[in-house]
Amino acid sequence: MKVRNYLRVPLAWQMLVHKKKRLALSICGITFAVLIMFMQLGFFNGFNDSQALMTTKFAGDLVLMDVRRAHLNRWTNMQQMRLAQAAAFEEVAQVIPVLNGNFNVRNTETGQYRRTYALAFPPNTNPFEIEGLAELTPLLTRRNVVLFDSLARDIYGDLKVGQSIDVNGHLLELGGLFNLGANFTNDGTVIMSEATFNMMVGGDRNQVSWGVLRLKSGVDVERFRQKLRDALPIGVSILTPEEMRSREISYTMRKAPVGVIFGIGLIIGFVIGTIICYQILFNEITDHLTQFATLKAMGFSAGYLRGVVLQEAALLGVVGFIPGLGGGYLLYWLLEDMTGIVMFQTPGRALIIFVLTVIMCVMAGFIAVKRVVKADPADVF
Amino acid sequence: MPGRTRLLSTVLAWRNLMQNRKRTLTALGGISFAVLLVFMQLGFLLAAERGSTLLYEDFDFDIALLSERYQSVSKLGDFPRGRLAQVASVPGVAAVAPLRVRNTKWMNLETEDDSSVMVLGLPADPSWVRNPGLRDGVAQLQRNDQLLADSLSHDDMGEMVVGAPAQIGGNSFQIAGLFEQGMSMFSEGAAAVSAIGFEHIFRGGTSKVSIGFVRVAPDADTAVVVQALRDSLPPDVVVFSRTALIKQEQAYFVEVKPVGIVFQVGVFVAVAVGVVILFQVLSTEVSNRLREYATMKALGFGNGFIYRIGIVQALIFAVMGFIPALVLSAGVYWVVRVLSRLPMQLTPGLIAFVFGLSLFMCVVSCVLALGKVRRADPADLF
Repeated sequence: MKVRNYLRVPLAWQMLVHKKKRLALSICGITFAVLIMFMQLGFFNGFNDSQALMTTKFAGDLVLMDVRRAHLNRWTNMQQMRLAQAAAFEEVAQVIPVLNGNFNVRNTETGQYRRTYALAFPPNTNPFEIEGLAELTPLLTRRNVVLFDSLARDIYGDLKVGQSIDVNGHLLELGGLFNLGANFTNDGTVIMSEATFNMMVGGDRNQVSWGVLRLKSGVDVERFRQKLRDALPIGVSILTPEEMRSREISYTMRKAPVGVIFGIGLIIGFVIGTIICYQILFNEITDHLTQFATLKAMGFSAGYLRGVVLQEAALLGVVGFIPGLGGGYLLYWLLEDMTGIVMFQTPGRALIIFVLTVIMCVMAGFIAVKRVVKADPADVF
Repeated sequence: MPGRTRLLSTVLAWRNLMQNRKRTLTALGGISFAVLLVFMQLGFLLAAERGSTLLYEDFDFDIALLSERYQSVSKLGDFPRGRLAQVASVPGVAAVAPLRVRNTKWMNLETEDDSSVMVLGLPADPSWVRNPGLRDGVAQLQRNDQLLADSLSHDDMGEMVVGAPAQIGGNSFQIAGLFEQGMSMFSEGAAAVSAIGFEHIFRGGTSKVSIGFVRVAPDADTAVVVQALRDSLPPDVVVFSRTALIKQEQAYFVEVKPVGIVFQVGVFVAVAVGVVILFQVLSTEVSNRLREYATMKALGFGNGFIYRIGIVQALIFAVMGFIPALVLSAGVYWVVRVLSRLPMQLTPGLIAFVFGLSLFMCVVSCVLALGKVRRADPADLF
């Protein structure tokens, strides 16, 4: 029995590699099915991740905001006084107020105004971890200087550092470019100092959008949050950036039909993969029917033969997944470049597709194996 | 004779496929799903395009005036109402009417949750309105606290019942009627009010217009009137013909937002998969029948005859794979419409396009798979 178990994998493997050209074709088919699944899952995650991108850029332990500011594109502000209340705790190292709005930035070439996500904070502070921003924040000490996202959609025209830029009808100076990225709601982001922002909206200076809290090292975030919770009115939400991210993603999933769109795509990819895999195994079995019947005549059990086919199926899944994974990386990279949607692979996401691939192949194996079990030695000889 | 060989090759192709029905069926299944995937991707793309222009479809106009700040239907901007009066005297203009559009908050009175709602301030004359619910509703808006609600709004906004109270931008309203719009991609729902109702919600807005509708006189040429309007208006207003506006809107949604690329890549991958499946089927078919083909060649049939068998087989696969895909996608479209309220529609144009793609898949895989036939040498067999 031990010998037989040992024999099985090489047998399944050898049957697969018997015809190299056909194996290559089979792997190609499975790879494409894997690619469809990667693509659909990638778009699904990419859409959610892009919508929540900004939440991952908050560089603080806790973020305070009005309780009605339930997602990134809701504009309810809170009183600045709440930040002062929080700053009074000895555990707090720094509190940075952030203002957020929607401004119109004019494309200098076409003259068209484009709605743009705007962020502002006091000069010489940096509440965000945005690539390229830290070096630029000193520029914000000058009034009327703004920073712009180099990864914004190309609807703003060619923007050069040092040029003047029309924001809400005010001519400001473009001080520098940072790298953030656009999503389905926002085409671009502009950053400025609190003073410049207030000059433009002429709004209530006692209001802020978020307060980014940094705690002294060694302070337990959860315990401090509880303490702060007790001190602040219920109209204030206290969230970690990670909680903001998951809240944003669940909001996006609830409001946008992406789950349905890409979920259907994923199912179709899975079914296609199953059919392709079934076809491969079917041909494989047809070709080797004589050998299977011979094995049976030699006394190998139906269970053994079934094992061989299922192993062939699983091997196909594993072997087809590898180029699929490679192709998935390439596809994500290409699409990220083309669309600006953040698309990345995580071990967990790749694992989901791997498991789906193996299930798909083994399922096809179960359907295809019936023929082997029925293979009658008497028919062959 | 040519007619007879053609018939013979078709009969042979059919018999070849019928010989191993189970395998033929799975192959058809594979092709069907690849075609279904194409249908889904294109359906989503077209739904996104259509979804972006639903507002314009609801109104009957030839030319639209928009603010220079106009970017897309979700960012319309506004311009001084006086421009409309200015335009009425331009030759070729038969009538003008204002539409106001602004977003505000809708409160679900049961859950007290806020949703974003697009509010339309309708023109008083219902002849400008195409959407049947909206057109009939214009007359129902008697008081300044009555509104028409979009029955396709997001469920979070609560159930839309005629006569029920509603709260919009902090003002109490009553639902006087329902219409169907479902612009789910921009706001969670829509509501329509009269000009006074609009003023009731957004105070101080009577001097502004979001879209100025223009109807062209029967004997006038739209393009000429568009030019005349452009010449007579200052640069704070932009002028689009109806078709140009719809095109521009779809282009914004599909090209600026990455929706277009997402689904185009999906179509591409789906077609590639279809080719791989068809190629697999045809090439196994050819290898299995190589002896038969060689025999036929020995009997005096040319390569062309054998190619034809392969081509007919591929055509049968493409056509027979397409039909179940069409039926399945009708079902899936319905499910998606119910689940997501995306305006997915199987139009004749879409069906024809996808059928063309299926034929294309079939041609490419034929070219790839039939190379072997040429090499089928009777001498190898006997």
